[in-house]
Amino acid sequence: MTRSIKYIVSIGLLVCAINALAQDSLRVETVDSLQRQTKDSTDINIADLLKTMSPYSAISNKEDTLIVAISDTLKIEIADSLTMEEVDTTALPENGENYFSILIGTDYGKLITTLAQLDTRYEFNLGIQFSKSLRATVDYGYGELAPPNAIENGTYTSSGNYYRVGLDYMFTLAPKTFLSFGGMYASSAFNDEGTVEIESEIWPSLKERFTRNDFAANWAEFVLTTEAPILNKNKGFFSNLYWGIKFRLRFMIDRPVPENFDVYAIPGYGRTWNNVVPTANLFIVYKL
Amino acid sequence: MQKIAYILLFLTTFVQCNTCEDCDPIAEEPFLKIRFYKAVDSSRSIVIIDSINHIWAGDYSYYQDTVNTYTLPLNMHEDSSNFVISYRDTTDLSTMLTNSLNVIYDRSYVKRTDNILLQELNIIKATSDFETTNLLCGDTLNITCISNDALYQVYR
Repeated sequence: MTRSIKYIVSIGLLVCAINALAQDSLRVETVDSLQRQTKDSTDINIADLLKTMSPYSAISNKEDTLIVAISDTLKIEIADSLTMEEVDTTALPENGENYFSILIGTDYGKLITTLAQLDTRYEFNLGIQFSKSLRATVDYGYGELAPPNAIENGTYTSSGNYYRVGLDYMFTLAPKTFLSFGGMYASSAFNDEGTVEIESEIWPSLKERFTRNDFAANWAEFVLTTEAPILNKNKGFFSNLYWGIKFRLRFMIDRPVPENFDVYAIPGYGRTWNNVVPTANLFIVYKL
Repeated sequence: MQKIAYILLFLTTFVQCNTCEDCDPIAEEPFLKIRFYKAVDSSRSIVIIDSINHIWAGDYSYYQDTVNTYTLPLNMHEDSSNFVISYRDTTDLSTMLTNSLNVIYDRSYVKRTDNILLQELNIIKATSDFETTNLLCGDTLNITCISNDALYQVYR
């Protein structure tokens, strides 16, 4: 029951985070557009203004007012009397810009659990952005999972390495704010070990250690990713630093099923109680 | 709002830690049951076990007689268990009787749905110096039997 409540609370918070991301990205978009309109030299004409506003579009021009569509639901009216200044436009890709970039990241949620000594887990991510919408990703991680309730009358630890490879298709929700869908193939090589204690009244009580080696598991993942800059900066280190959440739906392909008792947890996959496992990861990534 | 949501997410990560509420060893050792019958008519023979392996049986709660059936825990460290059973028949409480029982088995671990890990023994053979015996597995006589389902029947 307690576990179910925690799960529901976690899901709720994740939904809140998505909403927060979406709202922040919309706000950034608005501010950025206004900056473009309110900073520039004195006399401008509508044509010049339209050039500076790409990729946004002017939907009408009535009398002295330009109406600009920022999104489907947000439109801004800009009086012709506004003044404009030169601004840094590198934050927004121009048509024909080279989108190629390399991304280096990590799962900071796992780092937190490691620092909190709940489990020992870390994961690093390497991505290559080929185009505006396509990105290849490779993940490598290590996990040492010790679920406290895996064996009630003993201890249990599952440890090993895992990797994932996959592709993401990205949608730009707003400048520097992305939503992507992707698929990954994952594999884990791991061992498990533990102890068991069983009391006896006649014979010596049993306190035994067990170790099982050379396990391998493979699974596929459907991944939904939200991604936005940590700070709304156009220049400097933080302009390329992003964070976000990955929602994963894992589908087990094959895993070991030992004779005596089942594997309880697989590094990179998690608990083995179901062949379809939803999960979420917090990540931070730097774009080179 | 965004930052608050992230902070709450961090906190839920910490909350996931579960405390171990019952991590003590448990008395869930594998066992073999033994029951006594009268050889003449196969009716129940009521006996009182005084000691097992020369240890006063009253010290143990695990194999107290409830329905004339005694529970003998099996050794989880080896593939066999030897029992020396001293007992008295209720028809003649002054005469102490002693017999020995040897049980041979294979050991393996099984996990219950409540995540308690137990040893399950596949009993291959049970021999004794009782006159007539058989090994009952559930409702049928069998040569081999899983521990805890096995009943060693003694006809004397």
